[in-house]
Amino acid sequence: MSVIEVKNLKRDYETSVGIFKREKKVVHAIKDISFEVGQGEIFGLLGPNGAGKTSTIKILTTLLAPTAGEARVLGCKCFGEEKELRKRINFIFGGERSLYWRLSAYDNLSYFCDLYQVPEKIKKKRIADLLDMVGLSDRAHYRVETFSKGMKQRLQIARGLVNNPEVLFLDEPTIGLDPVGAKTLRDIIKRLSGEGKTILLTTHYMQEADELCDRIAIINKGELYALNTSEKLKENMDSAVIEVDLDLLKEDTLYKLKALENVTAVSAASYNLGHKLKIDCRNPKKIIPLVSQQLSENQIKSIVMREATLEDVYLKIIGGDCSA
Amino acid sequence: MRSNVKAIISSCKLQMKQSFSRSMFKFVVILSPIISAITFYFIYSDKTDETLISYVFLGTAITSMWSSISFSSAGDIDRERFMGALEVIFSAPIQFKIIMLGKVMGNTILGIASMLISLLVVVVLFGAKFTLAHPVLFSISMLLGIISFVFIALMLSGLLAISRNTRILMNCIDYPVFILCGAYFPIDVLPDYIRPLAYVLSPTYILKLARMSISGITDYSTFYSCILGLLAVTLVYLTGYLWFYRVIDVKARKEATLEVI
Amino acid sequence: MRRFFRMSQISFKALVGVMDPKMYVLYKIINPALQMVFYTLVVRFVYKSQDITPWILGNAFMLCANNAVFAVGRMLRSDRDQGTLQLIVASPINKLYAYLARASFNIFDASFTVIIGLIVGIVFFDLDFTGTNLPLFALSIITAMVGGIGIGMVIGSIALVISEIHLFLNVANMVIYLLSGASFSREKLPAYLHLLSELIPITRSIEASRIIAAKGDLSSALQLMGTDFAIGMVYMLIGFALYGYFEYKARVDATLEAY
Ligand SMILES: Nc1ncnc2c1ncn2[C@@H]1O[C@H](COP(=O)(O)OP(=O)(O)O)[C@@H](O)[C@H]1O
Ligand SMILES: [Mg+2]
Repeated sequence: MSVIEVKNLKRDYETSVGIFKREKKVVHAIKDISFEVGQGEIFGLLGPNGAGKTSTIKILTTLLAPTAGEARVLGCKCFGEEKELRKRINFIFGGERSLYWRLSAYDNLSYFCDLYQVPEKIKKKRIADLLDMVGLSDRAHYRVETFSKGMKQRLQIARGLVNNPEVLFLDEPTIGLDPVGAKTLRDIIKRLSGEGKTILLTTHYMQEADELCDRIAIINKGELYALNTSEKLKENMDSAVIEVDLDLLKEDTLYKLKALENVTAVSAASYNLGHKLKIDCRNPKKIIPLVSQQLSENQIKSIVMREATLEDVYLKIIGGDCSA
Repeated sequence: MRSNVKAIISSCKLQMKQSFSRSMFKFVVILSPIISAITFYFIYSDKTDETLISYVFLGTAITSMWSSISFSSAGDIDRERFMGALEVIFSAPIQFKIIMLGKVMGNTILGIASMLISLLVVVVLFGAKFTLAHPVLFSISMLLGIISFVFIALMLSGLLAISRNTRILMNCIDYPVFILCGAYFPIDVLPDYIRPLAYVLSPTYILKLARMSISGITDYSTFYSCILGLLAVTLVYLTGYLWFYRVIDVKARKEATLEVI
Repeated sequence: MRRFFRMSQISFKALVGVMDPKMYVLYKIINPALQMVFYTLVVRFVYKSQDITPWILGNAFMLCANNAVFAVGRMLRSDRDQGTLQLIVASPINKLYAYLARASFNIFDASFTVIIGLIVGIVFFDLDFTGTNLPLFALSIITAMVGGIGIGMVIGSIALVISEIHLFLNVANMVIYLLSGASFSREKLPAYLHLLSELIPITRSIEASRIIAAKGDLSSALQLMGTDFAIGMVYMLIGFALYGYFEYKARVDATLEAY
């Protein structure tokens, strides 16, 4: 049985525009999304800003009611059976919010333990363990407002684990973290997954998603565009990328390259020392000689071929369309 | 049930710690009653001790209690939202209304502290004699009054979470309440057509009861009808509280317009 | 002069611009009117049959002090909090000029509040201006305003370096009310508080307004107003000196965190 089940989920927001002539406007934040997440899986939701990721997470964490469709976690309806569900899940929203800044780290965790009905016997040890895990033991009794951004974010993680949740939701958990902080967080996520917890996360960092997620869903404008493992997504792309560094870029170069068979897209970027071409294509081995032939007069500095990355997949699927 | 009690106590403690680290709350709880008791002492300075206690002490006490409660009920949900803590407590297994009960109780305890501060100013600093004709009835009235304050605060916090306009209004509600409930003067000075409004506010009854038990009760039927009135309005606040929080629970998630989330 | 006015207007806008009209009406009209009603009811109860005109006037004038303390204090402070203070400091403009320009718009705003207080007095509490020397009375409002802005500037400059700004402004506001003699005779204050109250530039304008309203000795009223005006100016200069000093400190010690 799946831990998270989302079936034909829809969510509309009604907003009024204008101050004097109030006009009702409906935003379809989630149009029709279905997916399932199995026990112990790390599931990634990718998509541009406004795609509906946060709305989806809010629905699954019982904070928001679906307009239509079904959302179940651990077999409980997210709207209607939240009483049972809330004890068994938790969430972490990225950034420095969701903490009491004027209280110490310890007080924060202790309070949330009480709100999550953690028995007194377990509470002390769990708080100590959590503080230890996120490396804040020595700062336990300092006020949160004296913490750096990374420390606050780590405390958030500890907060999200006070009830030892079976399912954990993370919305852009590494946003604004430095590389070391982000790595620490990824390690924690992997460890939690190793302990059998089911994790659903969103992120804008493709490498992170690639490294962590067992399966990835790419959504845009409230619709599901792709859903698969990272490997399958890249394979399905059936394409590779050739990157060429040039000194000279002629007007017709791009047209000529685009006209080649098996080339799907060409883009150019200029630097002060020259230009960089990115050529998306199928069957790159055949293409490279053709490309270098075409560019013989452009003074090629280097030419590299690489497999498509998750970022390429993402960009292709979203199509550089970030109008939402 | 036991976990609810624990959550209430925990929220109450947390709220006191939090509020107290906020400078504005220190002002509302400590400095404001002191300065305001001094100011009103000078206004009333030619009067008898009984008047000083009945108007300067009680006036300052009730207005400070009101301020600490309206300040917190108006501000707390907003502040929690601003800190992003609202969604976290909203989605905890303990019901939101239970958590808020604990928080309001925390602020009420601080409000009681400011009542005591105003008493100290009037009695210690200015040497007014604090004599009670009916100490037991006075204590009962105060106790009921405080319970009533808890529910008025809860009801307001719910109402404020539902409606943005009430939140704006809340910033200007202090003087009308002070005027209507007769904090520093008997409500007989108000015009007849306004006076009925005073009786929807529990401070009106609390002040009447306290003043009667300070100066001596001549007419017990008035006293008891004031107690009944106090109980009745408190029951209304309680109903409002439960109702508003039920609305919040559903409306917040359905419409996403309450910004509870 | 055009620039002076423009700067003044812009900083005023920055202050109230965030308010929508509803809020403006509530904060600038309804709330002062209610404060006025409240204190007038108190003094009417306390002073029973006596003429309460002096106290009505006192409370109307105090509305402006209230306004000045918060408006100027918040204005100076908001510069620091929004990070615009460094822009002003780094700009080549004459700082006194900028400072006065930014504060002076509040004079209009504050006078407006006093007039609301007076209207409440006239409408609800039989305040009577028949036969009063109105130009002179208006002058007393202006001198009180200058005093109010002066206090506002001193307090606002101090607020620049204080971390608990709301606490500070509120206490200042209440203490000024206590010392002003708005609702009781300042003679009742103990000697040291009485001395302090002499230093507040609004107190004399209030007394002058009372004399004018009672059709008393106008030359003594003028004298009181003159003194208040002078003290008010001194306050403004002190405020500016403090402002300059804190700005200097900020640059040298990097003490203003938003800096
Ligand atoms: N409370 C709300 N009221 C109105 N519109 C909202 C609200 N929350 C989100 N939206 C809209 O819903 C859409 C999806 O938002 P969101 O789920 O936050 O996307 P994401 O997290 O993927 O960036 C956006 O267009 C956003 O403007
Ligand atoms: Mg989002």
